[in-house]
Amino acid sequence: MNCTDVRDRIDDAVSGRLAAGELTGLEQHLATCAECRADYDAARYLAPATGRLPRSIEPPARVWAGVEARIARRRTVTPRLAAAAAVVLMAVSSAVTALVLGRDDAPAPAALAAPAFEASYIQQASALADLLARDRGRLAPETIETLERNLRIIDGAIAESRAALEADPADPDLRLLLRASHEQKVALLEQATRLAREL
Amino acid sequence: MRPAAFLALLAATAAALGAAQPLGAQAPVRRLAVARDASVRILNLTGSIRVTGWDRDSVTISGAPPRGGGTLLAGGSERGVKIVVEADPSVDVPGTALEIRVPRTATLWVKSASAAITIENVAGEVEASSVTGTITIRGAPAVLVAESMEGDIDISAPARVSRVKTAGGDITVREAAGEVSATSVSGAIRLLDARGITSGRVESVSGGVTFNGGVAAGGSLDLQTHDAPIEIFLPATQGAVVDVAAYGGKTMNRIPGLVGKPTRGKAMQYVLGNGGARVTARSLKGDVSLRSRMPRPNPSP
Repeated sequence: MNCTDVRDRIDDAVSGRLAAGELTGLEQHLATCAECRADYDAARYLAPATGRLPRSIEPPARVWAGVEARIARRRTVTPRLAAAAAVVLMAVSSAVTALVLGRDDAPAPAALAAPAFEASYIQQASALADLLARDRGRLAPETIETLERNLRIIDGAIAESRAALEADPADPDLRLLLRASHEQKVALLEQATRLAREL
Repeated sequence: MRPAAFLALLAATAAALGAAQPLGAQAPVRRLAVARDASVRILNLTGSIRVTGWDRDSVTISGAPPRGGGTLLAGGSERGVKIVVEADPSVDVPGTALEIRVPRTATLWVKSASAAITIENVAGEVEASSVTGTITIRGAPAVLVAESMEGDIDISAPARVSRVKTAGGDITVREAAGEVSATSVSGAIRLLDARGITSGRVESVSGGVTFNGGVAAGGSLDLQTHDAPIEIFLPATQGAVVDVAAYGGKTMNRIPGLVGKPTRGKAMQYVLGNGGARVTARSLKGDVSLRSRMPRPNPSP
């Protein structure tokens, strides 16, 4: 199995739906690929929480209007589904921060395709943001302010790193920078979720 | 309530208090016998927490409960002790200043909201977490985990494994050794007087990163920011292959006689001595500078 095969099967593996033969192949790949291993570990860690989530998140209407407009513009240059998936991914990424902030005025997403590996981070961030939104009232206003400020900083870094990677998709350091920003966002949301639960 | 039910309730209350007795202001010090490797869990949201390791198999606790409503509970068994300050959040009074002594090899878990946390001379595993309070750790814990949302973290402890994380607070780690991870979003990160790091990962988004010290032969150190500067000070004896990728910023090599070679784009590689360690620094918009570490002056006689 290659990385794409493995990532297509991670959800099934975590939920116990993968056939024994495929599971062996997946485990062999995970033993040699740190990136896929990290994705697998993250999915396994979040499985109990994501299992309780709704099957879809309705983005704020204003964001969706912008998404539709961008999908329409991209139809002429890329396959419809790929473009829609990429842009929706971006919308969800920004909506995650909006969800945490409890507002519907998140900045409209930039019209750049998201690299495939971002999907798992955005899913993790979305799941955590949903958990956090429920317990948001247990955090002090100044803590929420700190959280908001730092999430905005990370979102800015993600957008700039993504743009740089778009310009030079083969650069491994740019890929690492983008990955690190996503990891920071997930880690910060995890930390805030834990604080809201424990204090 | 019937007499039997009342007596049962009284007995249950007495049993609960036996397990976790409130400490009144008139009895500020309490001593609990524990194993030397006992687990000690401390929760005090406001005020301060100072924990000191000592070579005795007991825990002592001092601190008055919050005035105007609140309780200081302490109890447990030989294997584990829990110390909790429960305060009424609706009453705005100064928090409790907790002073606690624990066996030096205890496993320690400390949590606060705004309370400053200070931990000294503990050699077991230490985990400290705060929302806005500062965290200060001195000594030599085996494993150290410190995490704050906004408070600064100051560590002087050569732990085998150190994991330090903030969102907006600054991080300073002195004498780091072994496996080190320090991450921040907007706070600055300084690793000073590092001693033979075997595996290091330092990441900030908008806070500057400074590394001053040595990396073990065969070890690796990865430094990364998004738009803040990275400064690396290495000793003259350090052998390392140093890879630097600064996209929007500048790469500045201030080590005399060291010549780098371009690898791809603006990325550069430098080889110090016979190589041995691996150092990587990357920033999308910040500068990266490479400097010689100044020898420490001899202490005054």
